[in-house]
Amino acid sequence: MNGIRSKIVLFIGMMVCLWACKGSDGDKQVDALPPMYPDYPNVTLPVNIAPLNFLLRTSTERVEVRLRGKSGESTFIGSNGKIQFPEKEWHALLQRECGGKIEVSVRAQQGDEWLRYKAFTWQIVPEQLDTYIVYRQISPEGENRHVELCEREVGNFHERKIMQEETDGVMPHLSVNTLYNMTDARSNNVVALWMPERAMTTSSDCLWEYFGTQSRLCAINRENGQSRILADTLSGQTVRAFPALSADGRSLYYSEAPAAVRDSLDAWCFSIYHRKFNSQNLTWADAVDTVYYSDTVKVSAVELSLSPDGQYLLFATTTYGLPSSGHRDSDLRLLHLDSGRLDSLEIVNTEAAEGQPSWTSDSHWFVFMSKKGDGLYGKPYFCYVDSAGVAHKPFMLPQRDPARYDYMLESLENPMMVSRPMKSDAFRKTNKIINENTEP
Amino acid sequence: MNIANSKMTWGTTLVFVVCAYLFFYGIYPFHVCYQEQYQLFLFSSAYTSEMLSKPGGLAEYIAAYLTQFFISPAAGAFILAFLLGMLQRLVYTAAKSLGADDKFYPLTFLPSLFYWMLLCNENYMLVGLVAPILALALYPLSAKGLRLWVVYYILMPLGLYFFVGISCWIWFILWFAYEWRERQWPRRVFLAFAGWNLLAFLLFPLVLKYAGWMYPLQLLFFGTNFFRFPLLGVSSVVIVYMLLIACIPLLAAWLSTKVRSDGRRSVVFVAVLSLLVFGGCGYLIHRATDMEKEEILAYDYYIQHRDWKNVIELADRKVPSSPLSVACLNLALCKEGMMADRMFHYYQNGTEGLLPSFTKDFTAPLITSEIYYHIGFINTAQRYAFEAMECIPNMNKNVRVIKRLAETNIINGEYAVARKYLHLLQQTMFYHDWATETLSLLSDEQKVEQNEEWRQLRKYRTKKDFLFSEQEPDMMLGFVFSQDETNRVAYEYLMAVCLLRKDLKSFLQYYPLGKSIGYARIPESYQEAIVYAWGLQHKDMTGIPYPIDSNVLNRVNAYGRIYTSYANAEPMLRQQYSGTYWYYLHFR
Repeated sequence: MNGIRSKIVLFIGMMVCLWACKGSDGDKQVDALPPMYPDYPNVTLPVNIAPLNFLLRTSTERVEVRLRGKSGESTFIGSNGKIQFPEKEWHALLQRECGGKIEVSVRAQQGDEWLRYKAFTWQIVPEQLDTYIVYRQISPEGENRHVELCEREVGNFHERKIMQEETDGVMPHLSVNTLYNMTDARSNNVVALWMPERAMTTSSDCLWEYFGTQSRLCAINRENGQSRILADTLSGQTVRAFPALSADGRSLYYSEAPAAVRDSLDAWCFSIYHRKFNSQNLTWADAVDTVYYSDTVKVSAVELSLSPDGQYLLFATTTYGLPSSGHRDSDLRLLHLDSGRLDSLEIVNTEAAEGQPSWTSDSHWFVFMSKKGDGLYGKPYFCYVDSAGVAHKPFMLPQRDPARYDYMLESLENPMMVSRPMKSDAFRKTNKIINENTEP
Repeated sequence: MNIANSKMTWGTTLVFVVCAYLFFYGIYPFHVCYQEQYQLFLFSSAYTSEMLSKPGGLAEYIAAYLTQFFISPAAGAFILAFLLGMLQRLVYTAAKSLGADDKFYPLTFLPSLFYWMLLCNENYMLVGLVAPILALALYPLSAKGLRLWVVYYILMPLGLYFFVGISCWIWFILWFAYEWRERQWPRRVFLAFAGWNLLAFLLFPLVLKYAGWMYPLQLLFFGTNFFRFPLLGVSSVVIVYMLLIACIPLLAAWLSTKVRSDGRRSVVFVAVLSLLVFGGCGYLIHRATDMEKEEILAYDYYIQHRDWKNVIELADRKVPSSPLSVACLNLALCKEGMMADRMFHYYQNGTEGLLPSFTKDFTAPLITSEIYYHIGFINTAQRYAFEAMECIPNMNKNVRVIKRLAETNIINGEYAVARKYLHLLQQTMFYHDWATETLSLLSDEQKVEQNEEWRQLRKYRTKKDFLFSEQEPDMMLGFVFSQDETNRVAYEYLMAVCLLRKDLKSFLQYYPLGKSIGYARIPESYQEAIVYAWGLQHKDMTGIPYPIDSNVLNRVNAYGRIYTSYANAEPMLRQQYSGTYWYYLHFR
């Protein structure tokens, strides 16, 4: 009798185990994160971000996403493997969960079976992104590339084209603070950098430029039209590029390399230097501080971005040469200027190219371009840097249709955050100033 | 003959449609196929909404949908002929509604014949037929009840502008004429509607521009692109075409009130008018037909489909002379293993006929890309294909290029990028199956390797970084050949570069590299080059260290005798020796 009872108990126990393995409601438990695109598990989000719509890279029919936070639980249903959150509900949810974490559980229907993936979290922080992101939309390869400059609200999916090559005759290779003017032979390959936009109307507005492999720095006073090339005894023997000016206009960081030699381009590396700058009379100090010396580390440091609070210097490193987008090995580095600590940003960098960083106005977020995934098409990513200076896992700019990046044949590059919508005539004015002030 | 007979009018239209079909299918099939590749029509909501959200978007969308079928010349020709016929019938219907007499029926063919002529230029697009057809199809809708009209005429301009772009003016002119004639409205109401329509058509583009639409005002005003070059397409030709569509019904109606004839005179009138319309337009179409371009497009079509035999047959029927055609022929000869023997049997125009220089164009780099692809320059082929796509003036994508990019990325092992392109192709009608099948291969490396072409090209492709220089083809070809010395295509192109440059020194220097190819005998043109080079330094052919055919030795001696005996030997040599390397060396 005892034997029969023990067998019954064993049988019931086995059934319970089997049932438990299937999940509490009959789902098949999968011990892995959902195969979601974009890669959104365990990311840190600003409270003002647009819905993180995503899709599952499996043959999924229905998807159910359960978001659980301190304020309660919400469930969202999607079809064809896609989840698109309603904007209003999404923003209300983020507001409620601000400062906390949301647990995300994903169930997916495959045939008659429901799979329940391992849950993950989204951390919601109160530090917001600036309202708009501006980027250039450009073909990833080729000499003849259509370029469009686009502006997107980060809180929703509204995107507009600010400028396009065909209509304006201006090549907006770089955006907002940087422009790439292809219209004037004199200023071919000019890249200009504005001071932070809030200073654009003051007399200390400055403009910087470099000229490809014979690059130098030049400052222009927008108000009186005066310009000055920032020169010293090494000018002519060096290439200076990627200026980054502090918010108060007193510190200037830039990349510098010896003049390029064609046959040894693979050893051509940029170092980072710092000088004091006088934005009133457009002069720089003779004293130079070496910030990052390429000969020591054998990498080229380019595309500098100084945080508005002056605490961090972000830059891209490549094995040699200029911009990062053509170098697969390009990675980002974060230099803590107060302590001198260099963060290799392992949570940010991938096997694909990362580069073109730019800070938001509160210095808590930076946006950068990454070619993660296919390795060819750039996408904007946002990364949170907390008060301790620790970078969190970045996330890709969300789209209304999460498959949009799949069918886009353009690379989204040079992302930059701004707090006001851009006016296209601002670019024409900028070009005019560049053309009037650049030397033949 | 009773010209008023509707059977007769339909019969005439049918004959017209059949003629158009025979023209596009029988004479101009490669122009038809050409259209298909210069777009990427996707069955996706994003693509549809993007297309429909711009002025003339509906017409562009329908035209793009139909253009997919141009992958088959028969289907494409049928669609073109059918739409040309439909346009004619709608012009006729409009003319009838305005009171035109059937004896002016031949005039209603003028717009269709005019666009037929324009279609002889490969850059005129199908939307040039679709948009006016939509505008004309909506015209009879104006004859509706009073209550609907108010809403109808307020919303009509907006709808029309977004459906058909500039063709909305056709509708407006015809509607205005119709209402003016019928007088079914109080004049004030009619003028108010007309004023609103006029204002709306003029203001919409300005409003959109002011709202920040990133199109030039000119393009916003015209909406649809009838021409592949959007800004150039807004030309007087397009305006003439629009005016023809709108004014022919008016003209026919007006003439009907002025020209009165019946019985036999009417028949004579119709016959003369038909002769003038069809004869005049037939002549213009004949003038507009560009058979040289058709030939280049035929070569391009065949090499795209790896139909090497048809390329050679085409050349056998008519020797090609343009660099692009010759380049296609040389590729076909090489792929068929005939290049080293027979390339000088055809006209050769230097290295441009072998590896055409890069041009900022959306057609020529595609052909060059095919050549580089088959040689093993995978990255160069990819770059040229990408450049060609980026040069498309109306910023369309190119489905052929997307397919090629998928292939080059698979060969390079870049599966993530290849998947992106394959996912796009999965959303097309005619490339879906190929994309799906190819996608299924990517998860299994062995299956990828089972593809003969990819496996071979993976062996051939360069694995080391190097700076590609179009100006140094021999260096580049030598480099790619050194990656795999069984790459016969690269070797024969290397030899061909030397021969076409008349650089016998380099030819003799590189010639021994071909040992690994395993020729059963020295190819004919190489023998000719070798004996010529030997002859330059020796009195006779005794001791030549290569197994030269006796026939070649005899011929070179005969050739030499004629060449040295006559001051003007070229006409004599052309008869017997135009297919030899010696003739190319001396007279090309």
